[in-house]
Amino acid sequence: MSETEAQLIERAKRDANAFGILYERYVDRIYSYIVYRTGDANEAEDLTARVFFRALARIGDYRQRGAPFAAWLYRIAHNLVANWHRDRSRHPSVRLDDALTLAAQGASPHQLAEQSDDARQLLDAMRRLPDERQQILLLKHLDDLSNLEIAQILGRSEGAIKSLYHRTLVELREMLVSRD
Amino acid sequence: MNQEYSESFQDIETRLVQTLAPVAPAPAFRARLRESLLTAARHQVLLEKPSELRWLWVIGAAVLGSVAGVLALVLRARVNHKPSPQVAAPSH
Repeated sequence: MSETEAQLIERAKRDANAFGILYERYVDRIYSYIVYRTGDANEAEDLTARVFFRALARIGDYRQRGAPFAAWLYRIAHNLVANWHRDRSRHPSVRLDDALTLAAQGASPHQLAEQSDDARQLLDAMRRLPDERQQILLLKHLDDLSNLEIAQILGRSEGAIKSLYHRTLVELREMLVSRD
Repeated sequence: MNQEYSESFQDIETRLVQTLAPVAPAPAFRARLRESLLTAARHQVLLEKPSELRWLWVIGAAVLGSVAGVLALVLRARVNHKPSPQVAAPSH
């Protein structure tokens, strides 16, 4: 019988290899999220490492409460990224240069040229959204999370996320229309 | 009107999906971090074991202490209840 995630997490509290499996399972998602939140590949590596070291230090206190393990990791990532923005006294916003470059790896020059203008325009608009709204867009479209999962990460109700997401799309559309 | 409304959202959502493509970390970074985490995890497990043993010592000492306390009380109670030597009745 294969091990459930809950069993794996319990094992990871006393078995380094089990923690290694959890790391393999989530590192790409967490790194991707942080690259888009910081826009800086080097900072993303540093913050990703800090997320997993913090998770390792606290996994003994982790209790299953219905939310997926990913939600717990994203909350750690969110707090570290928020501190990162605060430390640099920046307005929390997405710097997307590195994210775009990395995301475009593997695309042909023609595809790149065609996509980049459109993508930059959209990401510039996203950059001007409040922090929480940027997060909702990233969690929904980068990581394909449901409203419920996003709500668990952000500590909000599912209804609140649904309504905030809708308002975000309205705002984003207005920004894009006003640019055209 | 409604159709136009939902179409415009669909357009933005499609653009978001196309733009927000997942980004993978560099394989060297990924492997290095894994090694560091596994080393730290092994140390953490080793560090936690003595603390478990320490708790066992504390619990063991507490149990022994309680048993010794109860024994002392029982012995004391026995000593106190020993029949006192009978005083000889005065002869008439």
